[in-house]
Amino acid sequence: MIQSEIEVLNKLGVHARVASKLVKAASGFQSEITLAHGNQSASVKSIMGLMMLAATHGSKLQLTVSGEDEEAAHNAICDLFLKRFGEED
Amino acid sequence: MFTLKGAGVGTGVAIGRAVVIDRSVFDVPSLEIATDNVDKEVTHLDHALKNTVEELAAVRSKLSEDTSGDIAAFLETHMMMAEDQTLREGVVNIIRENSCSAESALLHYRSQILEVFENVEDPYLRSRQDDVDQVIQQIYRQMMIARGQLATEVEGNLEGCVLVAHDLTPSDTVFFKDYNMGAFVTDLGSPISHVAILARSLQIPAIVGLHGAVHHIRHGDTLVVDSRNNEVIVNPTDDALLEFEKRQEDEELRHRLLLSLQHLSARTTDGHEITLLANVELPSDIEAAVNCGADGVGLYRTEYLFMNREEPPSEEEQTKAYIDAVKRLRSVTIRTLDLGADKQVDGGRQLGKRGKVVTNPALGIRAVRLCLRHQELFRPQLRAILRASAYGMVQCMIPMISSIDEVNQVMTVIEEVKAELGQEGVPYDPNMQVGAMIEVPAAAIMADMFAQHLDFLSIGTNDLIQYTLAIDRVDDEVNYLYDPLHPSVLRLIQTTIEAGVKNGKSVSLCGEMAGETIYTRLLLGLGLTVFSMDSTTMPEVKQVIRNSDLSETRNMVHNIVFEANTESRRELLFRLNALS
Repeated sequence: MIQSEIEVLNKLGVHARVASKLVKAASGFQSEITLAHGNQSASVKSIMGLMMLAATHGSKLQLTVSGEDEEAAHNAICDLFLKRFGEED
Repeated sequence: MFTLKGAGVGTGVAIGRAVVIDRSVFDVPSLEIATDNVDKEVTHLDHALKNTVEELAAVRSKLSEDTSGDIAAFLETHMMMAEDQTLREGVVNIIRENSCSAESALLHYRSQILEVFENVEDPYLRSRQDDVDQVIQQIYRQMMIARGQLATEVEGNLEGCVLVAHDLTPSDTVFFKDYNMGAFVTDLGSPISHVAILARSLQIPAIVGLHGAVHHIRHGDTLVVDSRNNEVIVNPTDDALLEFEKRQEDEELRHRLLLSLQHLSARTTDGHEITLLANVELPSDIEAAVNCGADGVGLYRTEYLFMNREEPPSEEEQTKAYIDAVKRLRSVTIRTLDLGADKQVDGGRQLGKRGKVVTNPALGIRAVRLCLRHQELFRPQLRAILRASAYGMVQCMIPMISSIDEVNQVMTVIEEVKAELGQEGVPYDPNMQVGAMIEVPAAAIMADMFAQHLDFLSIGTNDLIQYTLAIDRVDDEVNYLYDPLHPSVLRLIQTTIEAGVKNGKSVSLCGEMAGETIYTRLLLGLGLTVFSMDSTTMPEVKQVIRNSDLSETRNMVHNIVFEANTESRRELLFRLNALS
């Protein structure tokens, strides 16, 4: 299991389209992937769950990945956040 | 006849028959069902989910290549929601717990979700509930279709009709794209919603955020949709209709002109290139500036950022706004805060309040005077402008300068701010040009001295006329004295332009005169080469320039400047404009 803290860097936060990019990426992995914001958590494979985290710019989220391909999955999700989901500033 | 107001988007005026789609009404009673039928309801739900996904996929496959990528992305996101297990499980749990129909479970789930979103603090993320709601409505509609309760909502020839709906989903908008609809009117939505994006791409008018449209407008009503005036006129009288038809023709003419001139240069018949820039008052003007083919923005007003609020905007907020403008346009001249006089705001009033009544605010602490006195306002703005300069061509323009001392004070502050940014390692353009508005007669008379100290000058005729002729712009009593053709005004404009030429500095004109075609040839003849105006007036001005001969114009303008008699001056101007 890999756990890390991740910051929302894109300006608009985790909105519908950002969430859809996360779901798309996460669905390619076997591992169970969850994001937690405060006391709420959601599967990264659920767009509704992600949207309801209400994670705004600057929010710190806890990412937990566990499964056979956890390392690759963890990297893929972190990468999306780091690249601000391709959103312009 | 009555009028409804909303937010106008898209282009033009449309007149057409209303086609009302009322989909916001969820009037299904909470259907109690026998427990042994629970599985049937779950199947009913699954069926509707599957059909929704298929419906969305079908729409996506029909998207032509020229459709905005935004719409495809919206559709994909909506498909993902319809396939979401969290949503399905949520609804299934409600069906099982309450032994209710799939429809009422879905509505129950909808109110739970919307409640969660209502508590989200961030306004942008909160507004995303619209996406969720649209998907839920679509699923709901599929359920109703499966139960045979929903006939095809819209049929017949829709060409030229005005579609009135509570809200339109991305798939609706794509669906209606092929019908040559005349206009859209929706209860919900904002200028950045996809209905707005669609209206713009189809170049038809739409009014969004018109609350109660579905309620007030009936099927078959005659509607006039006027996007420029943000209104829908329901069942206009015959006389009114004639007027609107005229408006519609004017809009079409203007639009065709705009399209035909957009990519042509503003060159006189004898080959002189004139630069046309746009004035931007609100961020929404930026798009119009891009569309009208402007060479850049000659006057980006920053007052909107400071209006209607208690606290001035932060450096970050300003930086973001300026960067956004710079990224979308080739060059932007940002004017520092010009508050006071006729532009009072909450923040400005508080600052101006010193327990005494200011009887003549136009001659009081305003614009650069206010900024130099309240550097806590000025410095963050200068920092933001400098920070934006790292992203493209940015020029900084100071309003209402009247002495070289003020220029020096401003320059000192700018140098200090640059040093700060340098120390912090924040990027900026060290060669950012700094110029001044020439709008006080003192500045125009000694324009040569300003031209030596600054990188560029820009003539603000509105204030220049009011100060030169000593007439209060907001006082109707002296309105009759307001005369842009007054020889003193023309001479000051000419002096300023010549001072720029002599010192190799650019001089533009950004007052109302720049956008009024009756003055275009006059200004050309005075030697003006850079005009900055409201984007809407640009096509007409460009057309006049393209029909003007500069050398011919110069001779006639000389006569106008030296004509003492007001009537004769007007006659000369009329003749100048009549030249073919």
